[in-house]
Amino acid sequence: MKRILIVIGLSVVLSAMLLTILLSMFSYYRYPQILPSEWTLHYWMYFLSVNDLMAEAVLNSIKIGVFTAVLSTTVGFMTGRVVVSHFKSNRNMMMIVYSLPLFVPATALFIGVHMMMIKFSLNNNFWGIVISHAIIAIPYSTNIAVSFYEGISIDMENVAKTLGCGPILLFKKILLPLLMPGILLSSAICFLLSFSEYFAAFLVGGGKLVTLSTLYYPYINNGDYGNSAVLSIVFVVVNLSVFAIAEYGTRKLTRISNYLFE
Amino acid sequence: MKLHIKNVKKNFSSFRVLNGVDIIVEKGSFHAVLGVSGSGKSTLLKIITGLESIEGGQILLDGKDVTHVPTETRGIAYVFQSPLLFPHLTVKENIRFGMEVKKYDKKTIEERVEELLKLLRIEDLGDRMPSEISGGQQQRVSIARALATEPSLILMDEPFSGLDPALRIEMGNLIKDLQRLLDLTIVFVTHDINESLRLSNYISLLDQGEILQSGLTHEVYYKPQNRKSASIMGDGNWIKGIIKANRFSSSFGDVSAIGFPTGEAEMFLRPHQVIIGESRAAFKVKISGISRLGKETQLTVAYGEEFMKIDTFSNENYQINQEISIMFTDSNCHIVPCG
Repeated sequence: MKRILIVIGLSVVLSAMLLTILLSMFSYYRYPQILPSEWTLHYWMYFLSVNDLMAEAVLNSIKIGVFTAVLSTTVGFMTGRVVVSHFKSNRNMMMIVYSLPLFVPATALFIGVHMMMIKFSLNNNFWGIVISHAIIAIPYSTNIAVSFYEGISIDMENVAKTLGCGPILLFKKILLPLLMPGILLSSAICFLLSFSEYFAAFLVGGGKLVTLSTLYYPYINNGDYGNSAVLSIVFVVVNLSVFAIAEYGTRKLTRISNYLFE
Repeated sequence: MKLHIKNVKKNFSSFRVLNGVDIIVEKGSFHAVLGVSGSGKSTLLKIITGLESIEGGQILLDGKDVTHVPTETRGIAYVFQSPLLFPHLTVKENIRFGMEVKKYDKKTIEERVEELLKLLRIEDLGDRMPSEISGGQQQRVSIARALATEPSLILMDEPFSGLDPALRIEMGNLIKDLQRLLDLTIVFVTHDINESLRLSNYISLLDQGEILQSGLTHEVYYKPQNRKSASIMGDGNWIKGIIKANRFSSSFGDVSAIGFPTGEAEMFLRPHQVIIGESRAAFKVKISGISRLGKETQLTVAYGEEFMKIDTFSNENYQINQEISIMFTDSNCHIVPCG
């Protein structure tokens, strides 16, 4: 039964992928043909050619994603530390509080965020988009941070202190290496959240800052399946690459085979 | 290094955990702190290292007040209940961690790591990760890590509690040997009476945040100041009587009590200090209870209205209501005047 479910699941995912690849490579199709009659690399050439708009969109998306990942992970891990150290009895309450942005509908959330950005002159601005993305990414990074901090016994930190570690050395030599898999995981997730976020980029960016997702939406809306399919594949490749990098980094940077610290 | 814990008071919220604890740990001694769970033992160790603050009192190391000195500069090593090895470092890296932090030169670090691996009998484990070695081996590594920086004082918080009985004894002997060999000052916290008797030469009894008695281990064991001190260290017999003309008289006969004031008193004897056998000084008692504890048997005997516990290694098959002869020597009797 389990095997059948796996086969069904894989078939759905792979056929969707296959369909997307096909969509990106044909120019004419008429029902009831099984395969398209006219093939083309036009959409791929358009994407790969020196295309200012596309290049700008890719670069902007990556830049916003990287800064969102750094900002959200930093804030998330700082928040996680406070939650684990100072909220022992009412930790669940705190987790609800910092997860609140996830419970509010995206439209309501980003209209409010947009108004705040206008107030602080951050609308139509790169940093405005980064902050908007961070608002929805921070709850995820904080949750990851809390899980990782909970895995590190306070007594392990105490051992390091008795061996002569001050706060900076303690962070550098003990906490950072133990948290590294979590930091990489959080960064990857925050990057992906930002990379595929449309609404905040559209609203806060005001259309002045082009990202891959703001290009993607009009293509789909206008029924341009060829270009949409190319961008979909780009999204999937980038997402998978980011996770692969995070996974490789975790293996390379840490030697922890058993994540039970005690 | 001599440690003086001076009138230390510690509260957790409104609950007083330690109430005027006063202990002197002599240089080169193996000092056990014995108490039941929740008596404040671990908190006391954390206070000594500076991991917990205090509401009153002082921590003196060789007469110098270190109460407000940060943990990292106190030079006190701490071995916890669980090994708490750094999981991202190999065994060797764990041992050299403290020396690297304190910026020892590379040659010294390498030499000391090899020396400690040999001393703790873990030479073959140097390149393994903590997850690849057993619990007993992990605890050896944590001891090596604590010894690496040659600390002036080592604190141990029930370090063998997670090990099986045979390994506990082996590790205890190893620590005792190391303490003698390196002339270490160790404060060892435990709730295990046998472990504290076997390892320590000084002992402090901690009960509900207060020190009941402190002194040489055999003295505290055989000469408790009161019933509570006696019971913390195991079973004992308290026999009521009267001191008159330098003699303590009870239903079990007279023993010498030179120097004690006249009046009511109690005599204390550990169960194994009572001897079963015939002699002129012996008196007949009836067995009212038998507990067989493997190679040891504990008898409860009745004499008039008094009861007494006796530990014996005899293989005789004792029966309830059997009459036996018992005796004890004057030198084994510890007399405590009442009031």
